[in-house]
Amino acid sequence: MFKDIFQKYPKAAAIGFASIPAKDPDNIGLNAVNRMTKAAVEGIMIREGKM
Amino acid sequence: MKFAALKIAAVLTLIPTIAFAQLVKKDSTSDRNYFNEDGSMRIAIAVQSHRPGSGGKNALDGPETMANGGIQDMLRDMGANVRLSSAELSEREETEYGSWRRMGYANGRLADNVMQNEADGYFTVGFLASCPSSLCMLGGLQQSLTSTDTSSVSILWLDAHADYNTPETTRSGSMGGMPLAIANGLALHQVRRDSKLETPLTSKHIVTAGLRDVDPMEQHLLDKARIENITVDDIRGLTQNVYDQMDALSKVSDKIYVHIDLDILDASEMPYHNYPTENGPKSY
Repeated sequence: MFKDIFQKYPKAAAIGFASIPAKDPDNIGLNAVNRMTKAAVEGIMIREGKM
Repeated sequence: MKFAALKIAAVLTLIPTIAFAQLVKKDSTSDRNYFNEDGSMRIAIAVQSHRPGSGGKNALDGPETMANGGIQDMLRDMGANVRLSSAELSEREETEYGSWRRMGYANGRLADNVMQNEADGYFTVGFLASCPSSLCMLGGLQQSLTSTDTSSVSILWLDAHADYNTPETTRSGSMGGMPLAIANGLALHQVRRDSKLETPLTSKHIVTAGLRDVDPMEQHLLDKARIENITVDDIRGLTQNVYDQMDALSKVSDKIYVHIDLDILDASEMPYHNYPTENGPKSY
């Protein structure tokens, strides 16, 4: 969904992740955040013809 | 006769004022550019580790850990220029014993960073200790607008919880359950102003998504404010409602902040969250 939102809506100007767990021994949360960030950035890159 | 003349004069004065306001609109979307001439994208990671609490410092390690947990390399591998900033309190602010106030100060610092990122053409990715820091992401975006209409910032709020309680309706007494109501101007105005969100958002500037654990009185407030919602099924199926709500936010605002409380994700993907919530969407 994030790739789509940032690709289609140029007014989407920032993304933020909150309530980040203090412990994340298996990096499950970290991987999820990285995936969502990557999707948002890819959306902007596609929108601007950089991908 | 005299009144009619005054009315005409007032209208004549207003027309150039409105036209000028349109002209000086600081940062129109079409002008915004997060890319260097070589095609690389500028991205700023903004860290806010302070959260409200019942006492103590309440600074968490999670945001720093996330910011240094491989995301910078991942973004650089995508060809991005990455810079990092965090909300540091001054010596005087550190002596403030109230955690709500201290978090407000930290929010103000991060809002300044977000505003600077926008001015420098950097796309901001926020790593925030708790949801009340959404206020500073909004505040920074609002401050970056030169428009006289500084309310022109919207939020897409992805969270298992609405965080739309006020001190009157809260059951937990936690400010963590109130930030969306604060952004909407329902309560705790000083925290909002400390976070540089000068003008509260109207209900038309707010869309929630993925809610599945809302208090009854909180739901009443949401209904009363007519705040629109995107359901978990909408997210999973990327239904028309997602686009309808984004269209609506785009229509009324200059900038949209996408806020994600990680408990939006299904508990299987966020097992160490303080409030893991079942039946959520996945990150992939």
